Amino acid sequence: MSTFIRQFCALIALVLVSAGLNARPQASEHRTQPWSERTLEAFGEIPIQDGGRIKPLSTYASFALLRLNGKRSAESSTGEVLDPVAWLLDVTFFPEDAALSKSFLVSDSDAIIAIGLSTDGKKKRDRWTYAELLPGMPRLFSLAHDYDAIEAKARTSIQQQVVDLASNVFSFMRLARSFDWSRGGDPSDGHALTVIAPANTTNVDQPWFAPANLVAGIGPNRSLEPADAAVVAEFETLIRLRADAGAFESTLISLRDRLVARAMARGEYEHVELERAYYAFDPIRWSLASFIAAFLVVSIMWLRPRSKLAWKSTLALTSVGALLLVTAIVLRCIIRERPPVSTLYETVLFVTASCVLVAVFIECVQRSRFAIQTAAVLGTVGLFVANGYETLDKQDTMPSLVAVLDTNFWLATHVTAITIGYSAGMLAAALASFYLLGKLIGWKRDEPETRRKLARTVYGVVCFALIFSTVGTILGGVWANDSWGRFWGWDPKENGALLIVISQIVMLHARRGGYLRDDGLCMAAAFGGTIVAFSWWGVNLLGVGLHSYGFTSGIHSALWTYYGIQWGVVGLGGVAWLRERATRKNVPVETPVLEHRRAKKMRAAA
Amino acid sequence: MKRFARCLLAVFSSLGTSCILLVLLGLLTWLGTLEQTRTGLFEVQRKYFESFFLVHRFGSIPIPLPGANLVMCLLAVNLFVGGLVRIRKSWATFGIIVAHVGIAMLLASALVKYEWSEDGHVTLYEGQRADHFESYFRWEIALIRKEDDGKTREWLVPHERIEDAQRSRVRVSMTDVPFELEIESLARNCRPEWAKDAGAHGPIVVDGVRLVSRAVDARAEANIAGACVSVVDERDGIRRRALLWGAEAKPFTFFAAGKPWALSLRKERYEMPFALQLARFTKEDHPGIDMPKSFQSDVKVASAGVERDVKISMNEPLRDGGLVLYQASWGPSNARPGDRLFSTFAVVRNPADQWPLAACLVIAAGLLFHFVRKLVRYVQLEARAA
Amino acid sequence: MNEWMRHCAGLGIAGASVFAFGCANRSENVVTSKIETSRIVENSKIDFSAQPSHAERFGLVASTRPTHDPHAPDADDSKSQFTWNTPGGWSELPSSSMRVANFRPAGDERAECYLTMLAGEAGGLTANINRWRSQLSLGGVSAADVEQLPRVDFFGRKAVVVEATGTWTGMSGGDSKSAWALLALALVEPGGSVFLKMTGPKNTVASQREAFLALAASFGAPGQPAAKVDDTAGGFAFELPNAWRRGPPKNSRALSFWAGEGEVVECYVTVLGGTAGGELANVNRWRTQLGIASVDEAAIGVLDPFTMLGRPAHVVELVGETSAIFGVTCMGEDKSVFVKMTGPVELVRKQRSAMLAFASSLKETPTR
Repeated sequence: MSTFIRQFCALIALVLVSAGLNARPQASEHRTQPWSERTLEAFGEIPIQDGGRIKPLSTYASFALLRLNGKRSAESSTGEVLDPVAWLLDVTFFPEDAALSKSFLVSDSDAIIAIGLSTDGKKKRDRWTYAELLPGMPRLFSLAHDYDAIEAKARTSIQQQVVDLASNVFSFMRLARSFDWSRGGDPSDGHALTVIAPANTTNVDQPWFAPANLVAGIGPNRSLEPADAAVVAEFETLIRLRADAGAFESTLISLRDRLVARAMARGEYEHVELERAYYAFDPIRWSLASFIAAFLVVSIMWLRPRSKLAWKSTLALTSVGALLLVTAIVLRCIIRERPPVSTLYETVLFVTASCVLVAVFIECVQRSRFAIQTAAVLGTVGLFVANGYETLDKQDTMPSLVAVLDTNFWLATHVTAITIGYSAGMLAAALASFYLLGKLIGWKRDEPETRRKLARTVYGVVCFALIFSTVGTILGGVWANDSWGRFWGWDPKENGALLIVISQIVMLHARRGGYLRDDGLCMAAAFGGTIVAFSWWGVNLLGVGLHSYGFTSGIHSALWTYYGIQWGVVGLGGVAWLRERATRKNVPVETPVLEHRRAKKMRAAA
Repeated sequence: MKRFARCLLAVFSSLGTSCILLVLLGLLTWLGTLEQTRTGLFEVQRKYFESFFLVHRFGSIPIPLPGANLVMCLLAVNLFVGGLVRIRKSWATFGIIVAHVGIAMLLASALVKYEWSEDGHVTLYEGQRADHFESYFRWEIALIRKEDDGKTREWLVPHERIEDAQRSRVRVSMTDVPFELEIESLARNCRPEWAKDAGAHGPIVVDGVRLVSRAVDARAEANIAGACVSVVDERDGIRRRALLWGAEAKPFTFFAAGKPWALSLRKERYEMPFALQLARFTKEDHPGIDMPKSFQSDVKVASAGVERDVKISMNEPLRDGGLVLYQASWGPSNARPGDRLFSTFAVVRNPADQWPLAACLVIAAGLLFHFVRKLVRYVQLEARAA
Repeated sequence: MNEWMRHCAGLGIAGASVFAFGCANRSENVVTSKIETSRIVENSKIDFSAQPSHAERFGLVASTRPTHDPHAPDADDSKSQFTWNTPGGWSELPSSSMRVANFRPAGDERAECYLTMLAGEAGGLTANINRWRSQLSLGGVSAADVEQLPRVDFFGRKAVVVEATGTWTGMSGGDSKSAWALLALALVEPGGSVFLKMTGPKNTVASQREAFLALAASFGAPGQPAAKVDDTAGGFAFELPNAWRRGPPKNSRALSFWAGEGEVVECYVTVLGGTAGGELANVNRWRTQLGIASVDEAAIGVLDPFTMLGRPAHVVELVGETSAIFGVTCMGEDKSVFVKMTGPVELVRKQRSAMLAFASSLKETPTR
């Protein structure tokens, strides 16, 4: 069978598939000017029911674009940079234009080759438009269908990318078909935009409708409620007027008012505006900026250690960063009406905030400067991790919770305590790493008191961590007992928490017994950081047990990088300790207990 | 002798011992966690956490280790001798002692749960009624005789004997029963098959059917045991052989000594002091997605002639008669609206149910006291130095 | 410190030897045991007079009354536990992770037939049909065309029948075969999709069409015997009214029929244990299914009396907006029997007398 005939058939398939996408009876119109501010605002304010909760369309568009494109913007064919709302407007109202915007991120172009397209003129990691992918779609879906049957853990990277790309293309197609019904298409497709609340009931458990759902409900013996019919009519008007920017804007505003009124009547619009404000203001971005600024000033502090101005500005910038982060967390609590930590993303925010706050507190008490430097570093790293996780996870960071997690009491007590335990553990590891690296490079060599102070601070933070880790772990058991009837099941997540508690108890007992002194304690605390990381992230990667609800594959390499770095620091600390021992033989070293007794004796003698 | 006792005391009360034991416990926890990805929780729990001794394989290198049971027993002794008895008593150590008391309470509740608790489940379709619950993993063989008044009498061969049958034949005699049972073989996980080609070796074929062993499933509840049991009647010399299977629809019935009997391999049953009937089960999803929002069972609890209506839902169990019933799961998973649903309750009888919570409060109080006291003194010291 | 270590070592050795001794005591051939206690159980449901064969006890053959077994292992491993009737002349091939059931139709080396199950909608019905069509070098069809395709029952739901003939290019487009045909059933639902697909030379596919459809109809879930198209009704004898046909078998239904033309009005018989929650609860459940308000106990008293299976029963007639339920409830101590007919209001009304005639003709057949 000749290539020509095969290509001809592929072309027929292409034409037929794209026919499903384009306007059929009318000539296709194009968008001639950018969407106006008011249009974008109005569209973004429309509430949509997605993932079991009501959110503004701007949030929905934002996460949809993030999932498809790896960032919250898309480049159109005219070089215009579209924000998520503008992109969604294009996809739904001008699908022919959206087909030419770069909406799909493909990390490895081998996936493109696998579906039979050429990668000329494209980089290895590049963004693709729907039109560019169209010829390869039959093969894409066919391959994805086959790869989907392979268990997720067993797939290669390219196979996973093909599956993800197919899923993304499918999502795009669903959105693009949202208004196909008005062009004579099939209303059984395009149900993504569930923006219409049910008319005659205030039952919040009822699913919402997309315009296509309502239209599909019209039949020979069935007609719509007048209110619903009015909504559908307004949508039809909107679609018809899409090329007339001014008329589109005013109709959209009127439609938005209608849909918002419906949601308000059901009491479901409460926090939508607050959510819009949260994402618009984006306190996390500003917090990160503050921390980065503080980090830069920290480097100045290293050059000019006595500078009081540098110290004050670091303190101020870090505090501002912490305040903004706390604001973000509080806003999220209000919007979701839940305690601050309920998903893995939120643990990152909370851990970063606690670390920074505790470090700032330590600095205010001690003024030894190492705490504030650590705070700036932790704040920056923490928020980078948060952003990275959000991009990797590609989902709404304020999701609905499964039944067993949906209890505010236990989320507020157990989860918060464990998260504070994580943050204290990481803070101790960070401070201990500071100590060990400092020792290696001879920091404060002639000021042993400062080093002692740092070691004692590490000890203090470990004590603080112990309380929260222990209480949190036991509360977890009590919660499990109340939910499932077994206090402890040796589940990986439970085991991880137990490991943290054990490591901290060992550190304290060993210090008390004189087996670990300053250096040893810091090495142990730094190693403890990897135990915390294992419990926090590692157990989710194992994919077993009741707690594997946070499986993400990109985390794996980040985690092992951290392990490597932290173990390296511990190793270097060991080197520094050996070096010191070699140069300092026969000097009696004192344990805290002996020192205390000797001091007591001296006081008694005095 | 006195020196030996003093040495022993020194060893058991030393902080070094605590550190070593804790590190061992941590090592076991970590190894057990990694092993779960391959073996499954139930097996790992038995091997690493409920044993006194085990051999861990690192590649092909065997590493002998004490089991968590042993480590925790030693830790309990160490805690008592070193952490409570021999520790110096002052305000400086008061918080620590309280925390240690809390940990002792925790260890005690673990012991009570391990020795004296029963747990299992009861599954009811809407409208069904039950007065006992079943174990998840433990089996029993029941020999049932029909009594004259319509009731039945049961003799139960416990789980431990059934486990023995994996390695050797087990002969069971029962009071008031004129024959003996011999469990010839037992498979932990098996499925029945037609014995098309009755091989000379392989599983025993009875009545054209045999039970074929399968690999033990990592999900322990998915294992269905099967046994080949013979009824050995010395007097008439007849040996009646039967295959019993854990998921059989009906028990094996036979006549012996002039009476009808039945044999059944089933999960261990525990009586409940009340009868439970499921009136209705409701499951709500978050609107528009396939994620469960809440589960709720409306049940009727009947005891001593009095019946009452109770709701059991996720995070809200029923506590009655020393038992606690939790909403564990439901099905069938492919049910459509209008299909009849069943609800599964996890049932636990644990005298130490609330002890961990009390222990938690005690530990928290102790630690807080100790560290807050230290913190306050430290802050004062720093303020004076500044 | 030295002494400390010596004593530790001593303890260790002592412990190890105790352990070793305990281990060694294992090799016995027969373990004897005596059970001293027994207990009385009140409501045992064991039928001592029945002497079921092992095959019947283990579910290898159909028993006359399929039992609910909520304790049956929930098939996550469901793939290998499906049952079906392999058509005569077809050979079974080993299954794989992708092909749950795998056959060679009518011994033709070139033909194949297999069952695939996927989570979710697997790309959608139209997309999959078009993929198959492209494998046969055919153009795609639209969703509207797919709507027009015929449907048959498959796993108790409606699956689309897809037939096409063309030149096979397969996955890689390498070797091509002309006069190739495809016959497939596609069941696509958000909860999961199932495809039964047969491909091969045009003549083979055409000649095996009946066998293919029979195979599809025979797929059944574990525990439930593979559906046989014979007349052993689930424990009942009855007179089938005119224009009624046997309907799709289902787990909870003893009998199932289509009443009248087409497949619009369903009538089925359900047998539930005990009082099944009570008559009121069941009637209210039906009322809820129609979207009408529930009633209280008083309403039960005014239902029309009827006699079914030699016992007093009630006739229940419920009318909703577009559909109606017409049923007979027969409550008993040990079991309750429900006959329920449902469909569009007018059509159900037409079948009323036929349904009542059917219900009065129901007789229980004794279990074998």
